[in-house]
Amino acid sequence: MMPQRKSAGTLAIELAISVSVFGLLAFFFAMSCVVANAARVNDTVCRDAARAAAQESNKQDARSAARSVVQTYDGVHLVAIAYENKGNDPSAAPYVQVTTSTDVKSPFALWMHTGMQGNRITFTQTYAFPIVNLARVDRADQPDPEDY
Amino acid sequence: MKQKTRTLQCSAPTKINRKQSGLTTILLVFALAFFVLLPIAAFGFELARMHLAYEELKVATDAAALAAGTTRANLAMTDPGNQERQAIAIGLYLFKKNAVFGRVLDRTTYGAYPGSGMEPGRAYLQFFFERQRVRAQSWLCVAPAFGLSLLPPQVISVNSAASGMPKLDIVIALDTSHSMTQETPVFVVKRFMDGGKLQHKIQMHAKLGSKRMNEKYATGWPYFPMDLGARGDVLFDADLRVQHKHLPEEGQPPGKDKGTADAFTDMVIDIPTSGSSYFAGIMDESAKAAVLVEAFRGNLENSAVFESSGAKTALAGIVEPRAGFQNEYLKIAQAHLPLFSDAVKEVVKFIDAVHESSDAHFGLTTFSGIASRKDFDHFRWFKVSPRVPGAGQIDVKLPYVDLSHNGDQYDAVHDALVDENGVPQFVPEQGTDTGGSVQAALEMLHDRSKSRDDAKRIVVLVTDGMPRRTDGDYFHNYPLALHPSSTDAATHAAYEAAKDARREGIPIFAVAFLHIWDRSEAREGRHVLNEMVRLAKHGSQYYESRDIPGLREDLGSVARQLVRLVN
Repeated sequence: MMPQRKSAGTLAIELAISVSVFGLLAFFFAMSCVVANAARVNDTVCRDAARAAAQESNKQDARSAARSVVQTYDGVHLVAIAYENKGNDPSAAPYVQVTTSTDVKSPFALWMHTGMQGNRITFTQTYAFPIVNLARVDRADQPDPEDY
Repeated sequence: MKQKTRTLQCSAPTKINRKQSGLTTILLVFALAFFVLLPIAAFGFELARMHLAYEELKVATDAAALAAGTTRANLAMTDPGNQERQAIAIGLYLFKKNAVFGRVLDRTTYGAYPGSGMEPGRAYLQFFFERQRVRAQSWLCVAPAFGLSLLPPQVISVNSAASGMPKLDIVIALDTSHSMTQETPVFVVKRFMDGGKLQHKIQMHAKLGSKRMNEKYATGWPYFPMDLGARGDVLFDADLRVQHKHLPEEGQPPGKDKGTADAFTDMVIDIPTSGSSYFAGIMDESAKAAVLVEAFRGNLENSAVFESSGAKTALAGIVEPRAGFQNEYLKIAQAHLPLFSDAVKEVVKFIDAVHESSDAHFGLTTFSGIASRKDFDHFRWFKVSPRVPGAGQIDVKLPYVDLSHNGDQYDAVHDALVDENGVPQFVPEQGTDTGGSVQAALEMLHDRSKSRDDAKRIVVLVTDGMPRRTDGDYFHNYPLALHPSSTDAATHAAYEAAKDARREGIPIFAVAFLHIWDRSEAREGRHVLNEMVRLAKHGSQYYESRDIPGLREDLGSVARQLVRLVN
């Protein structure tokens, strides 16, 4: 009986060690997937928000369009929006730049392309799109022409 | 013993094997985990990361292509000679504003990837300008996340991002109402016989739509453009107009007018006499108005007519009669209807720009008091007015070009709008049948034998004011008499057309050219067009300008709006 007990015990120890190693690896993989997915979602949201904002002709509408896109995703925040549109002048390179971020909690200190504070990884993405619908310069204040 | 020995023989190796295999298994597990699975996982992670970098670079490249495409479309209207250089500058600028892995691409060089020697974080961007699109290609060097030992830096290339206008079926609805001529400088010249000699007196020199002109000749100016096209006589003196019964025909001396004098008042376009004008050098500046009046009336075609008209009494020695004077005057005069002529030219530029940048098919409907249709592209109208039927009638053009499934109709639309010198081929009329024109455009776009299934269908409406169908007072014999004549009815028709556009899923790009000096009318026009855009939905847009540069910018913005990422 004793040899059998010893054998089973060894097996259990082997199994425990193997499982813990594979478990650790599996956990690492799972966390990597979560982290990668967070980066992907942040990227998608930032892109969609920038594209939506670029369809608008003023800063307020652009901000509201970007915000409405971002709000549809949990955990992604609109960090900044820059709206550069100097009238109806394409040579002024009118664009809207949107920055979004998302935080992921992780037990690992992963070296990635983002800043890390404690066990929290912050992904930040920035996209800029040309403003398609340029705002008109208001000419309403121009005086009426006089008689010839 | 035998059994024990057997047991020992059998069990001893078993014990030793278990111990060894347990250790080996653990070592194998660790080896497998750290030297096989972990590297595989890290490699997979790197691949996923590279894919993410590719996706992010693609978005940046798309943005750059879109920026270059929209800039090119814009500048095709406002600065065609500079469009590609500017498109590159702005596309590159936008590219650098984007980020991959949170880091902006500010270390980007314009040009093709040199093939080697690229350090991590560095990027290259290049554009290819083609007839109907702008392609962008980019390269980015990405360092691996787990250090350089596992993988060397990878160069990612995105070469599929492209920008250009999609397939478009565009119908241009162009307002040709007479209000487009109101900035035309004109002479009002009174001709009268004095002691057997024909004399000319300038009554006024002003812009046609100026307040001063309208106060003096309140209802006279609407006749002017039509009469220009008709090449008939012009009658403007407010007092004379009502009493006058027998207008002289071309080439005839002035007739008598009861109660006043042997007098007529003509209004002619003030043609510059400097530069390359036909009239430059042959016309004495002091007698300019007189020469223009007589040329317009046809009295300078030959010496016989000149003699009989009596014009020689005032112009003898100043100008030598010769055939072709009248045609030349009319040709130059049409080119000098500033707003109308320039607005038509801007529309032609827009068509040229869209034609160059996209796979576009064009249709055209023009409108004044009524919109042109397939079976209504001209009508007979009085040379002077319905009140003077004796002056005869002429055919008045209302250009119309049908959309075609098989051809782009670019040449047809171009030729319908301007001649080889860029001068409009038609003259302005009275009224603004905005609703009718949008309906005519929708009919073309609705007809699947004319429009393409996979094309984006749009209406570009260019107008300068309130919808207004012409009053039956002057147009009682005109087809418009069949239609409601009030502004309210015309506005209602415009709203109904906008609702039809919404049902068809066709956006209306309303370009308001509000040069009108009457602010209340401009305000009303703005309100109606904004309401049309609101009703039409589907991305409809309203643009407004007050001058030709503004109109050019607005049409450039419409072209810009049509640019989309192709893939």
